[in-house]
Amino acid sequence: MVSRPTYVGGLGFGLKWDMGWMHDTLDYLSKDPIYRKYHHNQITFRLMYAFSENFVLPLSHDEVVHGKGSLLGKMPGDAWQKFANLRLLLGYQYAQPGKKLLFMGGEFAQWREWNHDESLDWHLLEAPPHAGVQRWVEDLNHLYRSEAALHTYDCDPRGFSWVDCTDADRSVLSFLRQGASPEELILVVCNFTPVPRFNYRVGVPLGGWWQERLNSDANLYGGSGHGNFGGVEATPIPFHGRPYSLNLTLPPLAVIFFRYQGAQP
Amino acid sequence: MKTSVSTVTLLSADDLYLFNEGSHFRLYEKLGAHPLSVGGTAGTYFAVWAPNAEQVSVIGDFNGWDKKAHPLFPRESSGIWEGFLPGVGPGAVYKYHIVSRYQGYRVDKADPLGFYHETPPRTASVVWDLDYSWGDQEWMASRGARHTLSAPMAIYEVHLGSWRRVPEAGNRPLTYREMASWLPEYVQRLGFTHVEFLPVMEHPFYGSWGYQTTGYFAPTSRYGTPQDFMYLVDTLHQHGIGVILDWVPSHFPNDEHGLGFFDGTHLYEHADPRKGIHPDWNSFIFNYGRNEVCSFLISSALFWLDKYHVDGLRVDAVASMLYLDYSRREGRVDPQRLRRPREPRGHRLPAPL
Repeated sequence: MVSRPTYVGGLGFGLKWDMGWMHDTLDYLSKDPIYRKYHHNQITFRLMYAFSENFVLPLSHDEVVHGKGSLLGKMPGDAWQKFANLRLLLGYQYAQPGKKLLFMGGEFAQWREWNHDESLDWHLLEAPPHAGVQRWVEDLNHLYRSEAALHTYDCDPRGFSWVDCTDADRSVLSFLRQGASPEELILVVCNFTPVPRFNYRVGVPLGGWWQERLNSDANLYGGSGHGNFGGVEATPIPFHGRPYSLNLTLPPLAVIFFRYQGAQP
Repeated sequence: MKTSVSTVTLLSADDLYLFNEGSHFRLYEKLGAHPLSVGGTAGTYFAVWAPNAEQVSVIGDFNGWDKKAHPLFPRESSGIWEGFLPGVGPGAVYKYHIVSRYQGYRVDKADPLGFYHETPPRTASVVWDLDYSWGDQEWMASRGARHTLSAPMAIYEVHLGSWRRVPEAGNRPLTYREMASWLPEYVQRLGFTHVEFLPVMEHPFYGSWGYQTTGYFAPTSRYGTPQDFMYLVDTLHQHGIGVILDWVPSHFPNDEHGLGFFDGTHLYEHADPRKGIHPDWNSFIFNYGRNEVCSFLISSALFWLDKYHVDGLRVDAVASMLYLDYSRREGRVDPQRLRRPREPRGHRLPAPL
């Protein structure tokens, strides 16, 4: 293995870029959402190998050169959907186990492919959708750094468990990220279609209040403003093999992060 | 003008042994150009590896590029040529003039261990010292804990030449020092933990983004001096941001002043073109089977960690180093050592913790 010490037969690197994740995820997200149900395995397959190396999830300069266009340009749909899909891509990157890498310009949704002879298009930040993506990246970084559940076990299978990876029909993914203590828990739910889902039930391991920490569909980021009003109380209705469940509104083309809070504040 | 002196050396017998054995990892303390004072005389000590040379001399602005003025002297059987040039100091522009043992081949080379080079399209090296007063002690003391696998790591990948430009000045890129007044605050506000620079090592062709390296021991002079780049790293560290450098030990470009055909033989690159020339990039491939080449590359990696306080290296094109049939059509590989290519790129050496 690449990212293992040489004394156990590895090549001695600390981390390795997960090119498979990059290819699968960009390929999946560049598809019109109507077809995504047929490619659900592209977005779930990574967990078969996610801990075989110490991975970095790269959205590097290599993906925005040689006619490949920008990250925003790869996203399908009208302008609103492209921005929503890009926020979903970035949110999904931060939700997945692994370290993160983003090439400059991606953090504010550069439209053009990278041109080494020119500056990034900083003037785009005057437009709210671009400023919204930048704010989203800023909030993702702060969430990722402040929540132990999102980074402690980046390279350890203890940090991840599926809630439901089988809802291909609605292109919804739900999974838990776990820190070292049992109460360091983040639930991630991704809706890869532009159809908002109401009363979508997701199983959770613990009863109590689940705070909606980030929602990529918030107006602040340029989203439509669907959400769960800051949090949801778990009900003792077993679901997805878990003793409790949350009754959720899933915003269109969006990812939401819920933090386990225990008793309601 | 005084001629070169043969009695000054930085090389001990151990240095030579380790270098020829491939386990000298701090060549930058010995080879290249080192300003120093001998018996009250200021000058510069030069040392370069050219085992198949008949003659080596230092040419530069200080001797009118005269090939006869400052010869170097072979050091035993090590393949290294060395000498002390009185009166030559920091800022002097120089190259090595190499006369090969073979076929009368002569060539002027930049210093493989040069700490600073002229700005492309100029190709000579510049004598330089690397003194710098660091202010990042707090970062250096705490970075071990920041680089465990359980710590968060969100990397912002940056190309220095195109992050931000100055429209009022012909759309020029920012200097290292200008970058230091913009980038750390921006990265800190956005919350990334690390910056990763596309290769900063000196490269003749801007359009290669740095992936065609000629100066494995020098940040490109397009944006400032070595100390200016240290200042950028220092400032990032003082903002709590780690620094990773993209580094390219897989291949190097065939520019005449570069490493290729260094002493009239295939010295750094493999002599067999099936192993020594990269089919995708038409560049030379290092001969990893040669001990001195391993010393050179490992010294380069450690140089950035040691002298520039860098926190990690991202090693480019590792698969092309591991698999002999990488990008080779059938029949264009050495079948004795065939392995299958898999993952194409993207690894990193562990940071020194």
